[in-house]
Amino acid sequence: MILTDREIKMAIERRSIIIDPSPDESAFASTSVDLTLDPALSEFKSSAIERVVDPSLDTFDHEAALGELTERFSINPKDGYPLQPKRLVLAWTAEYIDLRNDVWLAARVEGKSSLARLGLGIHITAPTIHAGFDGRIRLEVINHGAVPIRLRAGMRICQLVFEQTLGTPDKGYRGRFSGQAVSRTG
Amino acid sequence: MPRIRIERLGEGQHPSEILVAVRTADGTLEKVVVDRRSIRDDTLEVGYPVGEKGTDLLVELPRESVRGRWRVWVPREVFSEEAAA
Repeated sequence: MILTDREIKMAIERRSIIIDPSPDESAFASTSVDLTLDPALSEFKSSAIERVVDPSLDTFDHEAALGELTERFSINPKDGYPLQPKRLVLAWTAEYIDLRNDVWLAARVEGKSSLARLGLGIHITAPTIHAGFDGRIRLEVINHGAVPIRLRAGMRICQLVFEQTLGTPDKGYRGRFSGQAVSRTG
Repeated sequence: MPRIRIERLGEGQHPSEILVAVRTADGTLEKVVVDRRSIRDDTLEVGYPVGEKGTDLLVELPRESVRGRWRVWVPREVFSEEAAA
């Protein structure tokens, strides 16, 4: 079940959903809230084409691979960053999202049609924000279009759609196994 | 909510991120990138165990690990449950 704007705002009010910084009222649509682009980007080095990665290996470490294959930089505040056609950059939302306070909430990050029509995609087949997530959302921003698209920090880059789960995930059941026997702190 | 002990390994791709590792039941390190805000006293919030095998517990990580795993077996001693506020 998808949350409406009213349900999202009520969930924010009771802190079931935390979005930091809080979105402007104009960022909401009937069933979504827009998020904005953080200045940090990771761009694939031109030399990356010479490498072959093998994610099928049990020892594969995507974070290490990305560390070797990409360069980090910040979007120039004045000129922005022109994303060339067929190029992929890794990006993040400026907003921190926290779904840990409500085990019945998950979300999907989706693109914005106004950008999609230019050819801009913001994820590659991985839109799910699982119940219990917290952090900034990583985006895979790719220009599928014919012309360079200028990215600017703070631009509305994606939308978040919240969904209520049907039932409680296993990890939400207290003492389902021998959790009762674990040490207690705090 | 229950937490699991982690080791800090280094920076993530974004300044808000940190690479941490969970020591699994077979002694290997399962690495996962999380937000810095997720870490408290070198522990990371996870849900309640979703499985049990002898002295090991199966827990779900808050994000997919760098090897693509969500659930890992951990020794019971790395797991702790916070007292309710």
